[in-house]
Amino acid sequence: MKDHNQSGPPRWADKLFKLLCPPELFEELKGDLQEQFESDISRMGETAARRRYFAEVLKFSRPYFLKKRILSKRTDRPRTSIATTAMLQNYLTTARRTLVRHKSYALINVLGLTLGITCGILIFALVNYHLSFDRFHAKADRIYRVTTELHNENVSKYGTVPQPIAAAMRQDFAFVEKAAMLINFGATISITTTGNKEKYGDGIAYTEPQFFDIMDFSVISGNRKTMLSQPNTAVITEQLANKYFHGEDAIGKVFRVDNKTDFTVTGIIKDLPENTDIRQEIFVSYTTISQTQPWLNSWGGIYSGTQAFVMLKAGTDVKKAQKAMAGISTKYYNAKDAKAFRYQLQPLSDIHMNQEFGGAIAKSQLIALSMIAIFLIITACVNFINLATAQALGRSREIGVRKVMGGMKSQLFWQFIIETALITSIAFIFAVTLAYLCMPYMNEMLSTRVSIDLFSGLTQPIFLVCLLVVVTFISGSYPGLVLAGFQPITALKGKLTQRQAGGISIRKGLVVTQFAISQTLLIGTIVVASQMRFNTETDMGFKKDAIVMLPVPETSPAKTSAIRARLSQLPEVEKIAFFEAPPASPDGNFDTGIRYDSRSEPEKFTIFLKSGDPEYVSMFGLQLVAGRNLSPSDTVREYLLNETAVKKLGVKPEEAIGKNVTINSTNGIIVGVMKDFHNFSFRSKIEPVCLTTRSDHYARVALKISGQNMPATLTALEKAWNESNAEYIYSYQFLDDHLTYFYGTDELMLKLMWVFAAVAIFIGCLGLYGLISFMAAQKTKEIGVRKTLGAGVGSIVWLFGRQFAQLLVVAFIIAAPIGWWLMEKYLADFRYHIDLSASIFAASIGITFFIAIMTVGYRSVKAALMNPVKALRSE
Amino acid sequence: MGRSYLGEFEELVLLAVTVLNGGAYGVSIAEELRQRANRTISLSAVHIALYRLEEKGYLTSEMGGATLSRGGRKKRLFSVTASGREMLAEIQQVRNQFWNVIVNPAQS
Repeated sequence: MKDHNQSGPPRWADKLFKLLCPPELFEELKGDLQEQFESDISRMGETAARRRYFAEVLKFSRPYFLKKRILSKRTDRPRTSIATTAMLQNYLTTARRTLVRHKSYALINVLGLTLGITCGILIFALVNYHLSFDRFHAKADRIYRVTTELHNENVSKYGTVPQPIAAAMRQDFAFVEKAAMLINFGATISITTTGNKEKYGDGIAYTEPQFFDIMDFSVISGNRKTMLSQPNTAVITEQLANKYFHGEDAIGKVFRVDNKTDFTVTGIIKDLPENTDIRQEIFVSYTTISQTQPWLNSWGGIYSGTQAFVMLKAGTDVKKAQKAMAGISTKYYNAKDAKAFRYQLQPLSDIHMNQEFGGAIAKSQLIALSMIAIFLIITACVNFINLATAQALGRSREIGVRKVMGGMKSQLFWQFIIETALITSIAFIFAVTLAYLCMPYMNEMLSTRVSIDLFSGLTQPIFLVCLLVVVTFISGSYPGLVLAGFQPITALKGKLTQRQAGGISIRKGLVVTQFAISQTLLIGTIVVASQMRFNTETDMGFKKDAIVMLPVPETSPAKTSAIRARLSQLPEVEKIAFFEAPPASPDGNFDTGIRYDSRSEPEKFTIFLKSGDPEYVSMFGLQLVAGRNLSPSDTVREYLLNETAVKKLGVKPEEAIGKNVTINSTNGIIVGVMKDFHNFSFRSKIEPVCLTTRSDHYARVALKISGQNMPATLTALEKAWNESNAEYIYSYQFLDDHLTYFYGTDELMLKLMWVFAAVAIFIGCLGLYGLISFMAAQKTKEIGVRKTLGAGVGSIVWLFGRQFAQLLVVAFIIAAPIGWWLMEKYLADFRYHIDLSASIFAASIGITFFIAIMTVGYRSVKAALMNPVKALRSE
Repeated sequence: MGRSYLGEFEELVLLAVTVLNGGAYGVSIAEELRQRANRTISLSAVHIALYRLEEKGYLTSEMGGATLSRGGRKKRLFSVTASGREMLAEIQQVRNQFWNVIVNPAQS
């Protein structure tokens, strides 16, 4: 028998057939199918027979049968469908009445769901936005960015490359269809029109012509193929064309970069789409770079604005291509460097999310966000379940009557689902509106350009409908089952108790889940906040207060000393230092090789080269552990090394003094050793650093400001600066603001977590409030009896409080280890971080308790203060 | 009374029903067509033809006995009506007339 069963026709094919076949023909057709199947088995074996059976079934989807099928359904059951509509109306009426009668219940539910769903919608839109980055290019799957791996003592990865690499790729590899460099520089654009001169601070990108063959940016005017082929030509976006040339035809117009080089506009492209990481708006011809930035042309150094994009030929095996690219290292480097410099390909779609190469957001962060969204929605659903189940007791009579009148379990269940759908739909309408309203704030906070648009794409409406269905079922099915499961007799007698209404333990479990979620979020928020405080307050090994940094657009010694003279006239300026980048800086870091003394080989590690004049040390309060400060010079003559560098060289600080050292291929003498300071954020360890004089690199000037009137000083600074740099745009930055760039994402995360934790706690409290109101109503009599027997207010409040306190503690016991584990992972990212102390956890449970007491307290005190006579008289 | 014409496939099915003489139902007709006309036909196609022929009045049907091989289900047995036979004879006649005019069938 078992055999027979196994060799039967495929079950799901049968199901499909039942769906397709007109019911009145089912008997004969199914019989025929079965008969043919069995004869097929003996004729051509089971597999073939099954396949044939399935094909036969599929063929029953012909219009002839479908028409019959549909018609038969309509003529078959007219009565049930009338009944269904009638019942549906009844359900909706009942639902409406229930909602109107229990206004606070409806309000709490709608509010909770609205908040949860709003967060869900916002996060979905955000995640979707991040996932869509640079996917719109037609050949996106064949576009890659070339990345660098530097294998020294340890491996470091960069999304930037040496400048000649695109040309090499085009020349050496058959699998490369197109390759283009894109090199960014900050720039001052000036436009001279009749009479006046306008200045703008926009970045430029030196771009090879093939770039526009690789990426799909639509060209409005100009020839895509030739527009960047000539020197001193430029392509700009529509928006910039309007900004610069005020609506006139920009083609053929000229603008000047950094007061030096003129560019003629030869092409205009459409404004960049919101979801691309290529944010340059001025593309200038690549052939110009040899005159403006001649120093760039080398295989040995990597400038941080240099990117190379390649498009591989269709059907190229990327793994093989990557292997072949090892040829670059061997061809263009000497044997030793070939080991250090290695090149890889990074898919275009990976750029936005790969943190190793400075992607905007990590996949893990997106996953974390999605998890939070799911948690918030779950909390909202849990709330609903809790309240609805509690409230179900009050409806026992209705259910009883329905059951007695012949209502089936499934009908009651669906009735409740429809009621839930009504509430969730209302919540959805509010949530979508709220999300619309919140979107601009979110975009501002996260500096994103997300939009909610229900009418242009399909993803958002589909997502909303799915979410609506899911939320309805999650929140509606459990209370629905409980309702449907009532015993009619007990229900009619009104003798149902808490216990029968779906078990208090399940509801307790749900409250615990809710509070575990919100406490985990709370712990996270507190930890991130403390770490952020640690980041800004901990001594980084240098001074950062009251230091203003201004740009130095032209670095010639004459210009520099002119600025120095002008600025030192200001009485508030205590000290002036010219330099490239402050001790710790997210930008302007240059990593290079070092060879010590008479050692024949360069060291295995690389060193960060900082340039600054002798004032640098005192400006930032750096301390010397040995030797002396640099002596004034415009070129490299002396070096200061930090302790880490000296340690890595394997010598004592005192021994290093006076030794020769070659850094970045330039020889000099070590004259001093600096005490270690943090040269990056607290995420990274302290690296070897050296400081030397190189006046042509002094792109910044730092000013130590004294005195109280900061605004006046800043105005004076601006005036002085503008006098000496009329061609350029003034900007200033405080050093401590500059340093916060290190923690941009953390700052965002913190803000988001605050919001989410607040929402989660709020939803949780709504649930708590609903539950306590319900309990108070249930226990009216009990309280009355207790009070007449002499119970005080305190003991009655404790009656309520005890239960909730237990739940909160259990939730904390669950949340604490989860929060601890997650936050350990977060902090592991920081090399210097706070310790997870008990006080953080204590604070979290303290806050939760406080908020819970605020919520529960009022209700329970009110219940406890009630006149016992009234309570006893009720019913 | 308007006359319905038969498609080629419908004609074959009608012939098969005639040949099977009382034992005609979906599977047996498909099998008959497979053997005689050497073509594989899906059951759904056969049934559509059968139902159409019945609607046109060339076939009648009744529910017949169940057999174990069909999972105990009944079959619908088809038989040719008088007008069905008439129709077949007419078709044959028209064809014959044509063939008689063709002088040497082998060469054409």
